[in-house]
Amino acid sequence: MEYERFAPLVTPHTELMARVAAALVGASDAEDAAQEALVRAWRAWPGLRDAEATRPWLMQITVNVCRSQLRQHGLRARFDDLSESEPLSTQELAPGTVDHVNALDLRRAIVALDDDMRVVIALRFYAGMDSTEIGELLGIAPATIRGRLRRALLRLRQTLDGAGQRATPAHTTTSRKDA
Amino acid sequence: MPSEYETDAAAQSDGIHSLPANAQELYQTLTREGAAWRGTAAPEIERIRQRLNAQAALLSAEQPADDAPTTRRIAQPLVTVSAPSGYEEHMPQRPTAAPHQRAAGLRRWITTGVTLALIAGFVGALALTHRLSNAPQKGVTGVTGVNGDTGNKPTGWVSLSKLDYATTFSANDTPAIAPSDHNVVYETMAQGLQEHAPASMSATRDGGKTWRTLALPLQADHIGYAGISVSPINPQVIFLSLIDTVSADCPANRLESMGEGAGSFCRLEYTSVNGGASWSAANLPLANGVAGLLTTNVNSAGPIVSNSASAQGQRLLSSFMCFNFGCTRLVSSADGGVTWSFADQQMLAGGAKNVCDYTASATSATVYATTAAGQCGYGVQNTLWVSHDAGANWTKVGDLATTNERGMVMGQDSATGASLLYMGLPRTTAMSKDKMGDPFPVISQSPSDVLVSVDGGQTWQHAPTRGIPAGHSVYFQIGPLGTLRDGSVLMDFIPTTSANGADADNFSGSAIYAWKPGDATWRYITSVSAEIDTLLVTPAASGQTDTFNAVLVNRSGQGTTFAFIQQVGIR
Repeated sequence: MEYERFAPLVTPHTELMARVAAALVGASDAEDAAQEALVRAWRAWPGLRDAEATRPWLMQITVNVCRSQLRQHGLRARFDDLSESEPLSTQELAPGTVDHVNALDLRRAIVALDDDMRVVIALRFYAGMDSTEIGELLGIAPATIRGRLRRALLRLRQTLDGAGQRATPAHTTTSRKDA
Repeated sequence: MPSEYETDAAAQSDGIHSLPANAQELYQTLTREGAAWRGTAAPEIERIRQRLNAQAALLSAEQPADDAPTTRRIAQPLVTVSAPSGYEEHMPQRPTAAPHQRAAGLRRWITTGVTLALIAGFVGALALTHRLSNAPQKGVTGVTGVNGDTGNKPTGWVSLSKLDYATTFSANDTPAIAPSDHNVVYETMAQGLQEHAPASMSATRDGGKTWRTLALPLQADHIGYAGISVSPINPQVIFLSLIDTVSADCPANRLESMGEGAGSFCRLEYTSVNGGASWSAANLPLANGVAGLLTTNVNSAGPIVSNSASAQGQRLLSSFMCFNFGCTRLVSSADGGVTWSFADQQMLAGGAKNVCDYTASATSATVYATTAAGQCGYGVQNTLWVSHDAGANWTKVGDLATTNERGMVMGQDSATGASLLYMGLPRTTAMSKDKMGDPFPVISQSPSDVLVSVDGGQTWQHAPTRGIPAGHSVYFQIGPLGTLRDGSVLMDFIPTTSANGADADNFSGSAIYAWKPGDATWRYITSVSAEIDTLLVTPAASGQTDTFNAVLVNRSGQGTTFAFIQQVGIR
């Protein structure tokens, strides 16, 4: 593919690149990841033969960069970031309340998922993609994505139920399942 | 926030109903949480998107070197000067309009005179200028120059130097590059009709490395608007269009009202033949007993002048705005811009009332013009005329096929020698209303609505659609950008989401493509990451490559900034 066609073919997909990166590594690191992905795409541009494949090709690069970044920075750091600064609805909640604890537990549970499940959760709920789009992005059948999604939900539920027994504040009588 | 129905449908698709109830509950929680997160993260995602688009535009123009860094960060805009302190307190921002409304706004300016900005400019036969200083403010990514080698492909854009001002004042004009010497740039700044703050003018002869302040022909704090333009054949000949906000300065027959008891002002035009060292009142023709102003033709590729000694010689052509917007005419000067006279009498005698657009040949005395039987404007039937003697005599060619002319430009096919007349002539696809409730046509955005004639406008052929990526539309609002040495027309393309107004506030760059008759596809030329304010195309001699010089404008709530950039090696 000619370099001159890079911008015209890539720019329609930059919003999705940014959204996927933000969902996977957090908004604060998304710019670094997305720009890294863009440059990798540019360097590999001559190898792209089909203009129609630009979108999934870019998304695969973006996901790979984000996964690499997560591995480099470590999940622990990502958890700290997620729990303190991510724009989840927890920020609307007063620290120490049951809802706040629940939301933080949810974040911890997501971060603790296996990589494949975590990516599906992030893309499905935070990037707002459906299973077909995620399947195209990851090169996996949509049915497989749906299976991972269901397994991830069950795993999260198990994790949250365990965390709830440990973390529910003593001064409240509201149970986690009531929240 | 997704609706319950949407959530249920998605859950059904995901096969969630087979899960235990508490897992289904978690699914709903995550759906709500994700939607809330996307809403909160949207501004940051949009900011990143714009940065990526800017970077993509720059990367498009270069190839990776062996030692290219893994990550290239977008640098800050070359030119970022904050608005003066306290400015925001008393200068209201103009409302942003969709792109299709910008051109309508410009046309309204011509036809009704309600806008007080003035555009004045000249561009050489070998250069085309687009001035949209009346365009609404909107957010645009800044520009960063990228160095590249010169060869058989375009280099990246290179920053020549920063321009030394930026402002959010609606009354400022844009910098004017001298078409005959790109190192000469003039710029003006005035602060509107109500401010009574001193206007200023400065110039550079070395591409912006050094600047000098020029004296203005009026008391600086009487000037509410100062538009500058440069002769295409002499960088020392400049034309200055001023609005004098002190009515006592104004000739009685030049007074215009600001409306609602706000006072009066007048428009005055001055000429300097020595680079601004001294000024004299422009010698303009009279219309209705009162002199008007030189102005660019805002819906065209810009005023053209021929500098061919064998053809039109030193003749300059310009649009002319009559006093109080009473008409738009075509004027010419045979003495390099010292004196001017009307060059459209035959067309007016033939039934035309206003000259809406024109373009002139660089290599002959041929001039084309479009006229209207009433006021020029969108949705108005224009008639095409041709002159082969620099405007002395005119022949009516015929009515245009649609009422949506978006500029025309002449070129010459370097292979065949054929004279080419390009025109942006989109079809009307629907009717809508602008912000003032006036009807305006919604136009096609297809590249096939770029037309070319090789027989003087008698017959027309459509450009192809091939070569343009899906999701991109012709930016008809600025019409043809010019022609290359081989005669190809240059058009600006932007994402369709911007072209149709849905994403008007997020103009994230555009790409320039070229085409000429005989080519089956458009070919990509270059990209820019901000709005093109001025594009000068300098065709080189045979065997050489062309050069682009551009002023890009970045309008945002933080100020209006300009970048002055050059790209060589254009083929």
